[in-house]
Amino acid sequence: MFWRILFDSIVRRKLRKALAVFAVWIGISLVVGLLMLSIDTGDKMNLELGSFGANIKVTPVSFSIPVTVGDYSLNSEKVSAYLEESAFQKLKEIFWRNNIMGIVPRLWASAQLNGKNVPLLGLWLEHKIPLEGGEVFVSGARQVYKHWAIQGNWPLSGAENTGLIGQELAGRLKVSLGDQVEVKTDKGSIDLEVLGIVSTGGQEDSAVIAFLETVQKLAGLQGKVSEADVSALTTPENRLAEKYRIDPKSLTSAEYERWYCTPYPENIASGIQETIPNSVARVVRRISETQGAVLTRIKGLMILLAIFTLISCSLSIMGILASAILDRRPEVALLQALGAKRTNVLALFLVEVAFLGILGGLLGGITGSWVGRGLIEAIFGGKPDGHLALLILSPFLGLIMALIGSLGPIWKALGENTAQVLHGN
Amino acid sequence: METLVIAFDRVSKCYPGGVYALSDVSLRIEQGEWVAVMGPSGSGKTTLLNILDGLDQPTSGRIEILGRDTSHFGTDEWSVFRRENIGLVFQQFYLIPYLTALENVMLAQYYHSMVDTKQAMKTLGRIKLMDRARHLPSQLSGGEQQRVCIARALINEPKIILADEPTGNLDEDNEKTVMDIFRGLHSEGHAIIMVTHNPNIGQLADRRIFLNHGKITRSN
Repeated sequence: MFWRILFDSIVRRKLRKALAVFAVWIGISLVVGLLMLSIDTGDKMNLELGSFGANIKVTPVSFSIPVTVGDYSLNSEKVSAYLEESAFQKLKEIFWRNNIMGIVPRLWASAQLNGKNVPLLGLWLEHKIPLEGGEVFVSGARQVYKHWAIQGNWPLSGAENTGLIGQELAGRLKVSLGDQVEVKTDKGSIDLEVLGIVSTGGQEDSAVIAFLETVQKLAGLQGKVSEADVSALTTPENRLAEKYRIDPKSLTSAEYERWYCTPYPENIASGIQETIPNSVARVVRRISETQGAVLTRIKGLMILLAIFTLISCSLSIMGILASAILDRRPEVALLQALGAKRTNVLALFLVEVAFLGILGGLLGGITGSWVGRGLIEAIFGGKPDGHLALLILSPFLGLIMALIGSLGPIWKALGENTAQVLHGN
Repeated sequence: METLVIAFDRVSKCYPGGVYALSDVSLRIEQGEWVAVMGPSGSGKTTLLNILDGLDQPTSGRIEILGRDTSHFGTDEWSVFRRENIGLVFQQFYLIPYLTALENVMLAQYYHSMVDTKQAMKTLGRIKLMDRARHLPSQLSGGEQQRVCIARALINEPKIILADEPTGNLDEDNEKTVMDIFRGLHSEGHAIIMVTHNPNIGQLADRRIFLNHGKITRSN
C-alpha cells in the first residue's frame, strides 16, 4: 500500500509534482552548468592566457671558468653552450607532460640578406611529436606565440624554403609579402619566400624567421638550439607554495606530497630542467604571475557564483516544496488521525520528495551539462572537457536539495495540532 | 449487559489565556449507546470530541476509554489505540484526493494491520458505493464522499465511532442517506458520539448532551 500511495500521489497529481521536479531541475541545471564552467575556467583561461606567451624560458647553462692565481681572480671567460633539440621531444614523457601545452626551441644565428647583416631565427613553426598510444602532439610558434601579429600566412611544415620576416626589418630592407630573398651564411645560402611579415614587439621584429632545421643547416649547428620557450598549464602559487619557498623543511610529509604533485610554475620548470641536459629553466614571472593573479580571481569569482547559485536555488526549491507540503497539512493530519505514526508519515513524504529530487537532479544534470557546454563554447570557443562526475553527482545533489528543502516543512506539518487542522478548532 | 466504553471524570481543557473550552465535565457512555453532543458554537462540543479521539489533550481530569486510562497517552500510543478502537467521521470528509474511494478505505486498513481489497469492497457495499469504488473523491458527490468517509471509519470494526457534524455539508437527501447508515451502525452495537447542531439528528440519538461554555448544562 505504501508504494501504491506513492505511485498514486505522483501519477494522479502530475502537475504539482511536475512543478517540484521543475524547480529542482532548473536549480540543478544552473548549479551544474556553473560548476562545469568554474571547473573548466582554470584550464581554459590558462590556455587563453597562453596568448601572453610562454611562461617558462629554457636556456643553456652559461658557466664561468675561474682563473685564479693565489687569492686573485684574474678573469672569467664566459662560455656559451647549445641545447640538444632532441631532448625537447622528451618533455612530453615527463611527469608534467599533460601540463606542457607548447614547446618552441629556438636557434639564433647571423646571416646576410640583400648584403646586410641580419639576425636569423630558426624555430619550430609547427612541429609534430609522436606520443604514446599513436597520438601526435603538435607544437610550435603558431601554437605558443598567439600574440604574434602576422600579416600574410604562417609557413606550413614541409615548405622549408618559406619563412617570415620581422616588421622592422621588412620596412628597413623594403621586403614585401611573397618576395624571394636570399639568406646567406658562411655555411650556405637559401632562397626564402616571405610568407608573412610578423610583429612581436620583441627581437623577432628585426629578424628573419625560418624553420629550425633550415637555420641549423645554414649555421652548421645541426641538432642544436640556443634557447626554448615552453608554455605550461600551471597552478597559481598559493600559501603552500609560499611556505615551501620560505622554508622547504617546514612542510609536513603530506604537505610536501601535495606540493610535489601540484603544477606550480617552479615545479614544472624544475621538471624541464632535469629533462634537458645542461639547461636552466626559468619561470617568466611577468607572465606566470599575471596568469596566476587573473586565474585566482576568476576561479574565486566562479566558485562564489556557483555557491550563491546553489544557495539561491536551494532557497527557491525550499520555498516551492515548503508550500507544496504545507498545502498537504490536512493529509498529514488525516494520516495521523487514521493511526499512522510520525515515522510512517515522514517516510511516505520523504520517499516521494526523494524521488522528485532525484528525477529533477537527473534532468538538471543533463540540461546543466548542456548549459555548461554552451557557456564554455560561447566564452572560450573550445570544446569543454567531459564532466561525467557532475552528471553522476547531480541526482544526489537534487536529492540533497529536495530533502533539505522539505524536511523542515514536513516536520512542521507533523508538529501541527492535528485537531486544529481537521476540526478547525 | 451494558458495558462502559467511555468515562470522563471532571475533565477540563483550558487554552492559553485562561479560556476554558471544557470545565469539570463528567460523562459516561455505554456500549451501543448513541449520544448526540449539542450546543451553540464555542460551547466545547468539538473540544470534547478531540479529547475523546486523542487529537487533543485535557488540562486536567481522568479519561477512561474501553477500560484504559488514556489521560497520559503519548502521540504514538494514541495512534495505535485510535486505529484499534475508534472510527472518525469528519464534517469535511478529508479523503485523500489522489486515492480512489476503495484506496481511501484501504488506507485505514493499512495503518491498522494489512490491506484486504475484498473486505474494503464489502464495506463499500454496506454503504452502497461498490460501483463507485474506483472513482476519485473529485468524481463523487458530497454525500458519496461522506459515505466513503464512513466506510473508512468502519473498515477496522471499531467499537466507538466519533462523528463531527457528519451531515453539516450535505443536502437533505444525502443527510437522510447518511443518517440511515448511522442508524444501521447503532443497531449493530457501535457506540456513536456525534456532534451536531441539528435538533432532528439529535432526536435520532439515545441521549443528548447539551454543552454551554464548556459545561454540560443538560442531558436527556
